Order: sequence, then structure tokens, then C-alpha cells
Amino acid sequence: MRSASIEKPSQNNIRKPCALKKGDTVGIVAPSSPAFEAGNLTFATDWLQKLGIKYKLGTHIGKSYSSYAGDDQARAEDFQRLWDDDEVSAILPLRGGAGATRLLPLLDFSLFARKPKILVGFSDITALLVAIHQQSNLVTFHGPTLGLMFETAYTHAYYQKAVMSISPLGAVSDPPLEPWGSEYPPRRLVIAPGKGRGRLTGGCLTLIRGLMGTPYEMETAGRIVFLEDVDEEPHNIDRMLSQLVLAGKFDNAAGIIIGDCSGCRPGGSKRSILPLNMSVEAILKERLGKLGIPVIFGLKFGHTADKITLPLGVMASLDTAGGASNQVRFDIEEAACVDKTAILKK
Amino acid sequence: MLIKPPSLKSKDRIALLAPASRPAKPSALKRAEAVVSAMGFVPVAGAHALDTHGAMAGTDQARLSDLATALEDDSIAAIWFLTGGFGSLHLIPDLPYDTFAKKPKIVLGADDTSHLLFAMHKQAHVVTFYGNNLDRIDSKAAVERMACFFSGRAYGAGSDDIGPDYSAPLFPSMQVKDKVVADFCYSPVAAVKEGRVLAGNLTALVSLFGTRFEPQLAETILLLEDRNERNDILDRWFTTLYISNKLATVAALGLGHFENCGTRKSANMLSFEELVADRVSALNLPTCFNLPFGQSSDCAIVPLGLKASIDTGAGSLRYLESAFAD
Repeated sequence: MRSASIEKPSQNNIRKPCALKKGDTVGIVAPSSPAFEAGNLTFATDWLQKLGIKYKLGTHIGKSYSSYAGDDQARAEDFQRLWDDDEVSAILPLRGGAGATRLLPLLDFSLFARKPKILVGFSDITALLVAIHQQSNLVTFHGPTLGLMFETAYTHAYYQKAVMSISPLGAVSDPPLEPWGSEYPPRRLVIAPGKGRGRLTGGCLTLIRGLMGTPYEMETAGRIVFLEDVDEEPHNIDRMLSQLVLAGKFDNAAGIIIGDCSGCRPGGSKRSILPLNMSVEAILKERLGKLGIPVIFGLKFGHTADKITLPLGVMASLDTAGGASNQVRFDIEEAACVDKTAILKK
Repeated sequence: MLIKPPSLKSKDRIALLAPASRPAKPSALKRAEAVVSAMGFVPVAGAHALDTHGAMAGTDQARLSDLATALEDDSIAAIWFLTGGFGSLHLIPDLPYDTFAKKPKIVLGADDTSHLLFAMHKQAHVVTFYGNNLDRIDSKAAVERMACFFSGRAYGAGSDDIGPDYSAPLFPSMQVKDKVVADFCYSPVAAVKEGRVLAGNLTALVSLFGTRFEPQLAETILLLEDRNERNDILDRWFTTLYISNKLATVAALGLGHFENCGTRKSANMLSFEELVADRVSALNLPTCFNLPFGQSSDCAIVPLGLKASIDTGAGSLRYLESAFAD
């Protein structure tokens, strides 16, 4: 096999996948945990049919080894076989769970560089999004897994905008508010004011933390970094953020966007509860409030029903200088996908 | 060059600090003082031990000040921690490591305070001690054993508990447990290896990854434990060790007590032992599970940095040098 030398990602040489369109075929895989039940799959494939998209199934999506969909070798083989298949134009993990990080040493990153394809997921899939984005210099997508891309109208609209279009996502809007009642956190609570511009990177904090000190550690210089988690105690969020701060990960970053972080409140984990714990908001102010870069908390991505699809590797800007939530501007300035004909011309 | 602290003498003053979470209640501090007095030492509680700042015992500045003061104070012979919890990671960029190297003293901790033990050992090259925080000392035997350990005295000599190779009286607690471990040890890869011991909490070790405080793992006998955590989360952190390519460089791996760890009501999950074994077997890395090492008072106190020999097949660890300067 030809070993492609993969240059470090930069604005000039970033690889973009072809936008997904009607008539295309996608590969359904389970690099982390298996399908809960066969019925979960049926609902997702019905949605693909509605969109006019065909699919091929990985052979291990229903297998099980501990909480993983088969052993590491089997999951890696499935993932790479479908990626290598020239009829497949997008790789759509059915769900996250646990186990994707275990695959990283088994992957041939030159394959993903040679054949740029759409990869969409969140939570455990973060490990693949960050590693493949960096090692293969490819735009990858932090968005709903296949089993969740139809969860709400907002989620589905941003999914289509991100992977089925060659236009930039543009100014990001929030899902509509309920007419009555309150919601916490607000979608764009300003933790630190400022303005920043850079390429996007990020994902689920637990997974990002798990890549620290490894060859796949997240690169943050000049980036707008988005992070979120689910059902974690605030002190565990603090420990992970403190690790990133200690490692200098925000020293040269352009901005930080913290997601809604569903269930991340004292007692939320049911796992390691401590008395008198702070809120995530208080922790963010202590750890990220004085870095000199813009920071917001509450954007809807990751473990919430409403979620934006965020492409890793495209230019974006964050402006929190106004200080008020309703003045925060988050723009994704650059398209994440290219048109198939543009690729053929190259 | 490894720096060793002096062992303790009767009436030595011991600082009782809370660099992470605070003791559960004011009487927990009184209890810790009584435990230390019962060992024949003089307890000196940190000024901020009962402060509150979120789940921590005071602000970062307050906790740091207690620790720095105790390190600087020549009248303090040892620093023991009252409890673990959360917060010690915040302190490590600002600790006076030079002072610690110049005035080495016994620092004992466990759980979250593992961050401090790793960082202080790495930055100052001083032997630090992984064993228990004071809130876990729960028997008269544990009080006696800990006093003997840090005084360099044999514990239980002549009793039936002592294993056949009772040749290193400096580490009686590990010797006592040797025999027990041999009965229960699970060893996916059995071998005898020598190396310097590095011991601590798995979550804390991985929390230092990518920072300048990340311990050097190459050629160490790496001993790991954790508490109150689910198998798949433990596997996440073990996976970090594995994919970092650093696991492959350790001489041997010893897994201790994983207290209150397990599937924690999640169905369809293998044990942590099996999740670790698939990769240590692939690496042919000498490994054993169920070493008497962890956070409870019946666990061995493990000094970081000493040369030792581990027999993973038998589940025994033998030190090749003393932990103390005298």
C-alpha cells in the first residue's frame, strides 16, 4: 500500500468531503457501542429512505464485547471496510456509547486522507472526529449520530445544512424558546467577553481529556474550541478543564464554546457526588473566565435533543464583546463540504 | 538522584491538611488528630482545613497556603491529608518544589491527593507515599501499622500473619499482604521484573497527561488503583494509557484494590480486569490484579520512586531499598 505522507492541517490544505445528496449511499457503523435493538436501526433507515439515501450496514453493529459492538479488531475492520468502499460517500455511526478511542491505534489514517468522506457523530465518536480530523487533515462533523439526526426539526435542519450543502452554515441561530417558563443555562451565557476567529475543533470533554498525552491530543492553537459533556459532576468537568488549562491548551486558542452540558449539575452523575459542589457556571468563571479569550456557555450541541452540527476544521468567529447573551454572535464562515464535480475537476 | 525523607520519631509534628475536599464534619478533624496522637505524634491541623469553597476546603489560595506553609516549616516532619475528593490538581503549578527538595519530609495521600504525590515526586525527586488519607484509618491495627511504617519499625514480628520472606522489616504491611495476594492474584502475564515503583490513582494519573507534571512511566513498576468508578470509565482512562504508547514502556503493571468499582448496575459489561487483560496480553506486559494497594487502611503504603522487584505471577512486590534517609 502507498503510504501517503499526511501534512499537518492548515487552512490551505484542509480536505473536505463531498456533500451528501439524494441517491448517495451511506455506511452505517457502530465503532463504539452496539445498536440497542434491531428496531432502533429500522427507524433510522426509514429516515434515510425518506431522504432518498441508500445504505450499507457494517457487519458488527449488533455484536457485543462488554459494552462495545464487538472486539476492537472487528469494529475497526467494519469502519475501514465501509470507508474504503467507493460506493459509500458518508460514514454514519449509529450511536456513541464507549469504545471508539480503543480503535485509534488500529486505524490507517492515510485511507481517510485518500478518500475524504463525511463522518458525523458526537459523544464517544469525538475520539474519531478529532483523530481523523488531525491525522488525515479532513473536515469531520460533530453532530447527531444516525439514530438521532431526526430528533428535532432544529437538529435535522442543521444536519442537512452541514452535510448536504456546499454553502457555509453562516450565523448560527438558536432553537425557538418555549413561550413560557425559563430555561437554564441560557443558550449563550457570556463567561468571558471578547472576539475570536479561528478554525473549529472540539467535542465531548470526557473524550477530549482521554486523548491528552497521546498522539491524538486535540490541537487548539488558533482554534475556536467547543466542549460539552453529559451527566458529569461539576467537579469532574473542573478536573478535565483544569487539565486542559495546565497543559496550555487554551494559551493560544481563539475562543471557547461550552455546550448545554445536560445533566451536569451537582448530583447529576449519580457516580461521584461531593457535598457543597459548585455549578458548572461557577466553575467556568473560575477556570476559563480570565484567559483573555471569548467564552460562552449553553449553546445547543452534543447531548441535547436540539443540536447544531459543527464541522471540525472550518473557519468560524465568536463575538461576545457585547457581554449580553442576546448580543453574542457565532458565525461558521466557511463551507464544510464540496461539490462532487469540483473534486472530479482536480 | 532520589531524595528520601527522614523517618518519624515519637513526638514528631505532623501537619494534617485538606488540599482537596474538606473533612466530612468538624469531628472528622478531631478524629484525625486523635489517630495521629495515638500513633505517638503531634497533630498540627492546617489553618484552612475546615474552610469551604464549593466541594473544596477553601479557595485554591487558602489550600495552597496551608501546604506551602507546612513544607516550609522545619518543625513539621510529615504532611498527611485528611481526605481526598476534589481540588488538588489546581495547586500543582504553584507548589514550592525547591523547598520540598531542600527540606524533604514524608507526604502521604490517596485518591485526589494522588495528583500532589505524582507532581511532588516528579518535580522535587523526593519519595512520596501512596496509602490512605486519614479519614480511612479505621482500626487500632491500622493505627499501629501506620506508626510502625513511618517509624521504620517492624510491625507484627513473630505473629502468624507474617509471610515466609519477612526480610524487609521496613515494609511490613506489604509483606503481611504478600501471602494473601498469592492466593488471589490474577495474572494475565506472569514474570519477575525490577523497576522503580510509581503508584497512584488511575484517574489522577490520566489527569496529568499532556501537562508538564505527567509522570515518567518508562521502566517503572506502575501500580494503579481507583474507587467509586464504573468499569467502562476506568477502561477509558486505561485506554488513554494504552494509546499514548506509554503503557508499552513500563516494566510491569500492578493493579490494586478497585474499591466500589464494577458494573454499577450497568448490564452487559465485562470486569475491568478483562478489559485491561486484552491489551496487556497483546503487549506481553507483566501484570497482576488484586495487589493489596489502594485507599483503605488495610492496604499497603507504597513509596514512589524506590527500586523494587515484582513477581506478577505470585502477586508479590519486594522493595530493594529503604524509603527513608536514615
